[in-house]
Amino acid sequence: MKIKTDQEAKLGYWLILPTVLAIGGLILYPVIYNLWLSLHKVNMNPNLPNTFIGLQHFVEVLTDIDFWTSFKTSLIFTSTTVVGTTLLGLGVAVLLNRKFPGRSIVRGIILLPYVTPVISAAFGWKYLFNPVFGMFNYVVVDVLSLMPQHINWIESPRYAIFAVIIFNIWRNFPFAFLMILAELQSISGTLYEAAEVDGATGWQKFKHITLPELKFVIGALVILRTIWNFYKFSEVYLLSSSVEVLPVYIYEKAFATYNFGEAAAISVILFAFVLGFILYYVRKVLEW
Amino acid sequence: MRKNKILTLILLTVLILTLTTAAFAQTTVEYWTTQTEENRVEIINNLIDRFEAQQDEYKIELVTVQENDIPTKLAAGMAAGRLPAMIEVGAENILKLGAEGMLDSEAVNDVVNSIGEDDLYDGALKMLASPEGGYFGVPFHGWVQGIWYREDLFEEKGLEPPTTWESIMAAAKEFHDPGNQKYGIVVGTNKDSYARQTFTQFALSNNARIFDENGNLVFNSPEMVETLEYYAELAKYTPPGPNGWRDARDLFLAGRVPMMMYSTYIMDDIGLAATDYAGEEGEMIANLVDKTNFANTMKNKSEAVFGQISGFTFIKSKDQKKIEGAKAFAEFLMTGENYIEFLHMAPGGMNAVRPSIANDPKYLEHELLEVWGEKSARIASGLNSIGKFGYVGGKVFPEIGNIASQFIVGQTIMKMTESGWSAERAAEWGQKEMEDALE
Repeated sequence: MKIKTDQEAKLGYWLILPTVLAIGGLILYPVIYNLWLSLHKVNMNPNLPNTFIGLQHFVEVLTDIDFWTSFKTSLIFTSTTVVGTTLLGLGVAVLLNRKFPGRSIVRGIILLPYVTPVISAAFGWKYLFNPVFGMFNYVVVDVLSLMPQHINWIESPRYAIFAVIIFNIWRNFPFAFLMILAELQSISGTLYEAAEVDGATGWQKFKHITLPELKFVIGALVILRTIWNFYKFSEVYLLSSSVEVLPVYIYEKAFATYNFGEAAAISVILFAFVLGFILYYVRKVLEW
Repeated sequence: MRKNKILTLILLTVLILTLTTAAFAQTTVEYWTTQTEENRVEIINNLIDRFEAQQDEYKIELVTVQENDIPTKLAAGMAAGRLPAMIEVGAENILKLGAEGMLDSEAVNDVVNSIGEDDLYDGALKMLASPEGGYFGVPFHGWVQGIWYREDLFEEKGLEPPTTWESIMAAAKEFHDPGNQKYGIVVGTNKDSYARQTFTQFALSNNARIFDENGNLVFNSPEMVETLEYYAELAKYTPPGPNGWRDARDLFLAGRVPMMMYSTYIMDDIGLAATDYAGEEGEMIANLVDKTNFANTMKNKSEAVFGQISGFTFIKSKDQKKIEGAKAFAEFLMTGENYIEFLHMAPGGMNAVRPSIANDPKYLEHELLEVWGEKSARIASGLNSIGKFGYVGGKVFPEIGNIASQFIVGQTIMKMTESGWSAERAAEWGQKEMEDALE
């Protein structure tokens, strides 16, 4: 009997081998290679050796004022977009949960920003914010006279962060909307009926029934959006190269400064930071 | 018996076929170009077909790369050890590859010698020279930059052509009318190559340099501070916020600015209405060719012309066969009608670096070049006297590639125009960044 178990165990190992190889090759190897890079001064020419320099890159990064500026930009970008997409998604989902004619068409249209290819959406917004021909400047400056002169919303380092945040919220709120709407539809109507019998107002129903029921889906949305947006490159860089969030900073370190080692060190620091955040969030906020 | 004969015959045929294909086995040569537009790729593919029809030894594999992606792709290719045999890019990138020791200079010199140094413009050769003598790349085509201006509007207001610092500033002030979305001038004020290119011409005309003759960084010199000061003042008469090449092109064509800095690649856009040339469409002033003139020389303390030379270069390879193929294809592209066909894919923009081709009636016989008339010959003549930051007193400093790829010049300008820094402070900041970049 024992022999058979051994054989079964062997077979088991063979069966999980493809998964182990795939995870090892696609996830573990890049992570370890990145760690290795972060400890070396990497030579551009593959025929020349790399030099081991220990933790020097980490010291350089952590004492670099530009890194901390980028870090701050990333925190502002991530926190505002996470709050913005979730609140907008929640609001729209609650509104579209009511019955009205044409509801399914409206729900479909709401998803458009999320399914539009990012490059075409970014170019559309670039024209919207164009300093001379753009509709945004035309309305704000020429029609409403809210500002004294046209502003380059996309390229100016002072204003571009606003444009990027607005663009990101517009583009990503449908995902929150979709998740929340699905959860809303599963809340039993009897809960609301019982509340009405007790004389609850609309706000009280929302606060004491809807929100608690949505707690986990909103919690999951916040953590996913935080991870995604903290590492967001495409939507930021395609709209404006003037907003130096950390992924853009890493990209420029690696490919404009050709400093692969330092870029790798930054991503290790980010990895540690995000991992710490997730562990804290899961334990304290979600109480899983 | 008969069966055996047939079998032998078949075997023999197979044997001969295998032998001949082995003897004529083709070598594949990978070729990177920055010409990514569809109609240009079509022209290059036609030329490749012609080249492959002429000989059986080599096959060309075309890879197109966006110009702004070139540093990234080169870095990735270098790290992976997977660079192509042949690249067609701007001079700075070639110098950078040369400085990294990646190039087969011998092959480059062979091609230069086979074409003949006499039949290549000195100005173009100088841009690709190696500090140790010889060349890092074979010059292929080039553009000239300058101020494109509305001659009709300048005459109306009785203004001097924008060739000196004073006349440029005076005109910019005169035309600036932001309330009606009309602006004085467009120059580069963003973190990109365009800002470095437009700024360079101002700096050179004020004898300001990034390197002195001994290769020391002198970005904080009094001449440079003076140039930065002037540039920041001029930037007050530009459209809002940082500006790039697209602003220059769109606003000039739409008649929102009377002057802007651009390369010769604007010629086909300006000439659009006058020819059947199929380019991009949009809001545009009528008869713009006749109303436009080009000031390619800028004068302050000295005269300066700026432009770019693109060339071929060959990456060192263990397979000498690939290098031979790349050399053959490079020579093919620079010869007679092949060369003219290539240059005509961006008429006016791309200029010949061989005097024999530049003066060839067949080259000048193009609808767009004819629309520009004698102006086009004068515009192209600037190619021979280009000045650049990486070249001082006959010496080449490939280190400029590192400074260019980080857009430090553009960032320095932004410190003044966006954050309100003084020219002195911005120059010190730029000097420090450049020192770090060269570490």
